[in-house]
Amino acid sequence: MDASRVVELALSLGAEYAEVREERLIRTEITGSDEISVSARSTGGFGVRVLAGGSWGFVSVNSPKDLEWAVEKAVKLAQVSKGNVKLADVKPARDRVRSGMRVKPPEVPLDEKVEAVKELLNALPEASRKAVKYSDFSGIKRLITSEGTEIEWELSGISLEANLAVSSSGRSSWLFGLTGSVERGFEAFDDMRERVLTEIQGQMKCFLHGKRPRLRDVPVLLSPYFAGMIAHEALGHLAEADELPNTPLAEKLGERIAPEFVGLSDGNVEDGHGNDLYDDEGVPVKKVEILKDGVFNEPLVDRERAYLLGIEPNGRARAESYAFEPMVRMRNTYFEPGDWTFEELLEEVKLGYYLVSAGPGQTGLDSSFTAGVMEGYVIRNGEIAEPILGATASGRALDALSGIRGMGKELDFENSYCGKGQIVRVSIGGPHVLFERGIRVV
Amino acid sequence: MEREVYRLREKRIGVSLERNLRPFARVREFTAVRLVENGKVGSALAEGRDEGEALRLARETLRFSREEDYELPSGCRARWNRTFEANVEDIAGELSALADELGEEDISLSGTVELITRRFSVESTAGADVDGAYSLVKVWLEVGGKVPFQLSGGFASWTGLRPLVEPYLGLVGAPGEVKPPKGSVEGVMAPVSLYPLLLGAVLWKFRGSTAVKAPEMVAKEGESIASPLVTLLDDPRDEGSLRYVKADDEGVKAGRNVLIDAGVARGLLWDSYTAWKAGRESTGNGIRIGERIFDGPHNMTLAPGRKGLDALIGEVERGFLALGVRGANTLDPTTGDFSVVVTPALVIERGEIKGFSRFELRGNVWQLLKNTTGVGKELARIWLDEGLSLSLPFLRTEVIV
Repeated sequence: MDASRVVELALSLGAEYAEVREERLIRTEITGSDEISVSARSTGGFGVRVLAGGSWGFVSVNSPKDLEWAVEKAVKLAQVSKGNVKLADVKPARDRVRSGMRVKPPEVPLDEKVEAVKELLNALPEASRKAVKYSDFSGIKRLITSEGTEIEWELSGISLEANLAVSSSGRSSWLFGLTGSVERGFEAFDDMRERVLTEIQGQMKCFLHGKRPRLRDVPVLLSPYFAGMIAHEALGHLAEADELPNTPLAEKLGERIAPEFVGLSDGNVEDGHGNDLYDDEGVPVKKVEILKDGVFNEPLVDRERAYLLGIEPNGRARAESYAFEPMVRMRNTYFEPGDWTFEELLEEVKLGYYLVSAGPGQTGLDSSFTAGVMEGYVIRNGEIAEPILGATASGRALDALSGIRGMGKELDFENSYCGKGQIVRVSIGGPHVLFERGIRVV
Repeated sequence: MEREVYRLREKRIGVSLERNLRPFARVREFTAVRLVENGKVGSALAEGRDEGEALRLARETLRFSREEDYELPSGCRARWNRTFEANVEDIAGELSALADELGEEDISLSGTVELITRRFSVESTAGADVDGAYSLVKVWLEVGGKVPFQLSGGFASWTGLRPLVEPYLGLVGAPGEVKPPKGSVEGVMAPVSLYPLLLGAVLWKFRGSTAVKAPEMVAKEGESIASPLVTLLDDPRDEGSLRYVKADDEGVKAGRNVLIDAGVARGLLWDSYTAWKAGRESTGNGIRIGERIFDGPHNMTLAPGRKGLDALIGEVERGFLALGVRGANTLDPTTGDFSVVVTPALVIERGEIKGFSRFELRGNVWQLLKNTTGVGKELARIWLDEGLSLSLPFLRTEVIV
């Protein structure tokens, strides 16, 4: 069965709305450690989502031969319960979205990619174990809806990561660097390699020379990446409309929750990992000013939540792949820049911390966060001093917002991933942010 | 040329509850091919039923492999079928009824319940002839209210949701927030808070690949590594195992593999390639994640003890019950060191739950196992989407808060 016939069949079976997403990708993965390992993967299939009787039904399959079964099953599943789902109106879109990459993954011989992995591996500092992983994908995605939307995307992406197991003086640690792009192709590989190397070198310095943090309740200057982690993990998730009712931001739309100079946005940024023209419901991606002048201004929504909240859809329905239903997700979430230079922010701190790189951590829907500090330093008299090691930064972001002293004027982003049942690409970043209080480093 | 063909068909049918019921079905099929030619190994995967595409891709990767004299493992012949059915209407009905019941007590409920049926086969020129199937129910729930917590669980048959949820609901009727315990106390770790700490540390210490790459860090046979109350094994043939297999993903016979016996380190987990590197035999622990094979457990099991949850709590003078931990991904698997936030923690005094709290806990996984003072008699089953399962009881241990 042809994908375009799917929506017709679904409507004939009683669906009010139907969509089918098709995806076909070729993926390559190269890992380099003691040896080089290359593997390849061809993925693809169809995701069929229908709305019938106010309830969703979703089915994914790999083969076009199973599409008819998928449609019938999706309609039956939607009929399992009676619901009240309604969708905010959108104008149907017909478009072809082309990749912005100059040198796309399939245009680069496998041998060249293998050599690039070897070069990065050799450039990494000495370690008891080190590994580099390069992966790329390329292919297409199509969305067809019963409302007349027909969009085809050309998809491409590159990801590069390195991890090192290091040990010294009876201590051991894992160092980790990750970057990637869906807009810059192999032409940007050197830049990606340098980013990963810089990240690893900073972490290595702290591992070798850092000491456990001893200061209590001091100001903390966050790098763009560290501040972005808090913007995304501890604040952004609260503004996702499916999470919103269970968070302290529920019922706070239009209320001031931060100082007037604090803005938090989610949108397309330069080389953003979460960039797109349309979401997986075919809605154009808008910049969302989550916090505007300190006021909770707009949540992130899909069409279902936009209708519920009575706002315009803003293009935040994203699915990991054809095999998953779209759900409300961030793209590139960041604090809006202020007017401080990095040097001015640094000079403001007599005694405090500069946190550069965040390690693994976890957050709660009450905006609490805990994150390991992979690279961090003490600040003394406005200057970066000794490195710290084994530190954890924690706090409650909504409380900490009132402790913001200043925001940097320059934005920087790192391309990363977000997991919320499904993994999607996001950028983490923004400006440097100085917190006078609210972040505890132990 | 040697060739191994692995085919998987995984069907998931279930319901998510998030404001509304959202039923779904996902069918994923793939064929993975591994080739060995002139000592070089190539591997690839193609979603769908196109074995030819997988073969083509695998051939492309062959030339990058190091030339070695590795050969595919001698496979076994195995057949089994532990599949069962569950009606999506029944799952939806039960989830909905539970949500309504909790709602009356002002407790919200969201989550996903799904029936997963996996059918896979392995055929190889080295003699593997495997065709097996198993079903499981995977449950993930987020329970709101005064003491919000998450529950992961699973069943090897459809028994409804109540057996999983009920032991916890009685616990969270705690009176209110109280101060966290301080100093040397006993902590009862619920399976859902235990596994994120245990898994990474155990995998590092008991995988054959660690023995090959960092031999100084692998568990040494005969070494006292945990309390005598602790026995840890991999048991894919346990009837209650969510991953129920008689052969691994390379077609090698899989069975019980004891890693820690009454506190003493015993065996390791070996797939065929890592075993070949170490000059050993596979233990039937080749686990396929995508196109790659890893040495890992099928169903990592902490053997149950004799104590019910009431006894585990009732014997605590001062301590807590950890219903969840945050930040477990900060665990250093090589050392077992962790720094987490225990939340929610139910604070216990003189055998009774006094209220809930939240606090930081720094420690070491191996120290937790050495200081174990009690092991629960019921196993909770947990499914990880990489295709592994865990069987864990409540575990009580001494910690410093």
